[in-house]
Amino acid sequence: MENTENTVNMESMESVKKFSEQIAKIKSELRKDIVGQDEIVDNVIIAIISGGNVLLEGVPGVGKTRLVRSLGRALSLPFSRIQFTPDLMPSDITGTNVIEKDEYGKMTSVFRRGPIFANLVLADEINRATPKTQSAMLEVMQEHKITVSGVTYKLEEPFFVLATENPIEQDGTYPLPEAQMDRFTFKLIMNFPSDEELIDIVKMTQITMAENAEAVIDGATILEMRELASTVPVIDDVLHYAIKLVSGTHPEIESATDTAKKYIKNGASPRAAQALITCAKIRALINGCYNVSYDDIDALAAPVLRHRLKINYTAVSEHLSVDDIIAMLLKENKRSRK
Amino acid sequence: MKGDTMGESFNKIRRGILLNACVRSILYGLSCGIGLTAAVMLVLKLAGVRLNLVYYIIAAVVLSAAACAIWFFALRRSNSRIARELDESMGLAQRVQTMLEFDGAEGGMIELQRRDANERLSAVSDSQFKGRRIWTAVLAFVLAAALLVGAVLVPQRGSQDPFDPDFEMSDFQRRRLEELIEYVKASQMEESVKTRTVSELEGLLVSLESAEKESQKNKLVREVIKNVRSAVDVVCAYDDIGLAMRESGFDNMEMFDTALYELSQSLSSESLEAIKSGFGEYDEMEKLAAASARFSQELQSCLQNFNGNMGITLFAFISAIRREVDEAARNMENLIYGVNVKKACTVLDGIFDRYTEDISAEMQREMGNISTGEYVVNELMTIFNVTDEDGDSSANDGQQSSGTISDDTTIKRDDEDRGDDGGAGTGETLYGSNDIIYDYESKSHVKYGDVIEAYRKGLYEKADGDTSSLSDEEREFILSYISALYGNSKSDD
Repeated sequence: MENTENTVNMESMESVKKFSEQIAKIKSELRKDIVGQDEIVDNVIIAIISGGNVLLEGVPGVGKTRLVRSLGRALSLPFSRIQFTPDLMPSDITGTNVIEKDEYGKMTSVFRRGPIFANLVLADEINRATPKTQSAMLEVMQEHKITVSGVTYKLEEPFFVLATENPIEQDGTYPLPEAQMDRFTFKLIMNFPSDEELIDIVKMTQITMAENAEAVIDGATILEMRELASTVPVIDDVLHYAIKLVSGTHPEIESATDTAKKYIKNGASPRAAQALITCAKIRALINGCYNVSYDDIDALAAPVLRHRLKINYTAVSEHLSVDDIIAMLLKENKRSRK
Repeated sequence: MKGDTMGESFNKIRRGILLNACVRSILYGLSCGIGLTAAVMLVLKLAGVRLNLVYYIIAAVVLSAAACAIWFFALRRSNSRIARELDESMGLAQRVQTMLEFDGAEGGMIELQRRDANERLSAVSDSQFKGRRIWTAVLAFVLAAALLVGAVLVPQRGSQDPFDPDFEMSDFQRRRLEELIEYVKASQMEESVKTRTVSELEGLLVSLESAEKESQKNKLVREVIKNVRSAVDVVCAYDDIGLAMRESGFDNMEMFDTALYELSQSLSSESLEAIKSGFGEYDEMEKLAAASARFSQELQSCLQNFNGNMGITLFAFISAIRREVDEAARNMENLIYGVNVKKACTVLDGIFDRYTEDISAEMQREMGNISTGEYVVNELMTIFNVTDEDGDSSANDGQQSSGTISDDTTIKRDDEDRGDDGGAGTGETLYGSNDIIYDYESKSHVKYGDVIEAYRKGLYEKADGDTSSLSDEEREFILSYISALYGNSKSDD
């Protein structure tokens, strides 16, 4: 009995060790192309392992696209890039049926796959496309499959969409619909680099503009890591804490927090709670902990909730950002810790 | 699912926390009990209320025990609470809580989590977790102890009587007390009672020499009064038996009680004759037998409650009367005497007559003890101006009934009450004429009523006579006193 336990322990320890090594490798490769943005890198890795999609927001030039391209190289996965423009059509993404002559000269309808058929898809400047085109991403982001002309095509796992967007106030952008926003696990804000970081960026790009990251991990390994992370235990108290945080964002329910009642127009969906717990498990493992803590939930609250909350006019009039509201929600929710 | 996979580190910490809770409960409980008691003591002392120390000790013990129990229930920790507090205070990121919640669960990750939590816990020392709280309890205990010391040291407000003048025995008091001792020695008291009474009085004489306050004097005198009464009580059976007779509700018993009293006073026992006459009035043997049997039964009831060790002689005489009357009644029922009622009455008469003399002597002996004892008590009250501790102030006015020796052995008779009220039926004031006093002229004990008139005349002549050396004012004072004291006495002035 004890031998069995020891064997299990050894296997688990090996798996965790491998998990840590893989994470370290990915980070190391990304460091070759990205300067600073540690939190962003960590959260992107968490999202990738959890199988979630990430929306990166930042002003042009802060390295959003570079980060995704570098990640695509490090993961050693089929990678495609879609540059979203106002005239981009859904079929440009999904692919379309074309009529071709076969070897016998007979005209047949053949499906030409679009760029979405990859493991890692970079949806660059996603909010520049029209809502119609953006809607084409809904099914693929949630269910990892595409239906064209009544035929459903399943995408190969693992599948991720890493989207970038410019701040919505800029010209030529369309707001993403709530349904699509909800399908992003994280929304990460890439801030302008500090002077020291900017110096390093300039120096790095003087040598070459190309990404330097090398492939260190494949899709199967990512799936194994996802499987391992799912076994991290979560106690009921922490689970309730996360649920209360999400449900507390809804001003229309009885248990809503004061902050939600005052500043929030629409609360987060159940996907937020799922994302919080799933990603908290991975974060715990990355940090060398074998269980989820309150701190894991708190740390992931902003990236998980910020694109799912819609603040009301009161918050705007008081110059409160979504992140400010989330900080207030966290402060209130800490009282519910047992 | 709960198993037995919690590490030794956690169990060790849990045992430490339990022990810590016990120690803190005791300290906090003692602090509460002692502190509360000390506070009450302080308040009562400042309010001038005096309480026996035993009450404070009992209160402190009870309160401490109750507080200890309450504190223990408040401070004890469940495993989940211990885990939560460990995680919070040691920054263990819910490791211990997770280990506890998944105790017994299986799985590689769970095992790793458990091992990780145990490794972290093994680095936790007890002092990190609970040391400060122990000191809080110690501090509370020290404060409570300090409060107790303060309460003990605070002087009792109003600890002395508001009016407690100095006392020094006067020559007059000393001489009167010595005379009282001589009186007792010369009295007809039983030797055992006399010895004890004299011993008490001599002890009082010595003790009063060193008494400095009135309160001390009063306490000493009251103690001697109590002891003298106690000494007299143990040699008297009549106290118990007579009381039972008076409360029996049976006419013949009440008359028998009166007869005993008359015998004690060497009076012709009219009551006893009345009882005999009562028996003689029956014209049928069955009725006489029934009356005799009831008399015997009632007498038996009166004798049942006698528990004294002394005074057994009187008890024996009355018991003998009861037995013989009972036997006579049975004989009457058996018609041993035939139908001769007169003969049966003669038998009853004979029974009473046979014991009359012995009972009379025994009653006089008991009454002698009682009256001498009461005299001693009255004299002590008068000499030292002490009131009866139980509130009976009648002793001070010289009107104490001769039958009264103590509250619980009062032989207060109806005919005496009438006499005390001013001689109802005769129109004369008897002045406690049944009291026995020591007459310095005849050097013997006499009834107060026999000599009172002579005393009055002598005092009056000396105060108002031509040879008086008193001033007019002094003479007027004494004459008014005599007039007030004797009232409508049989003076011929």
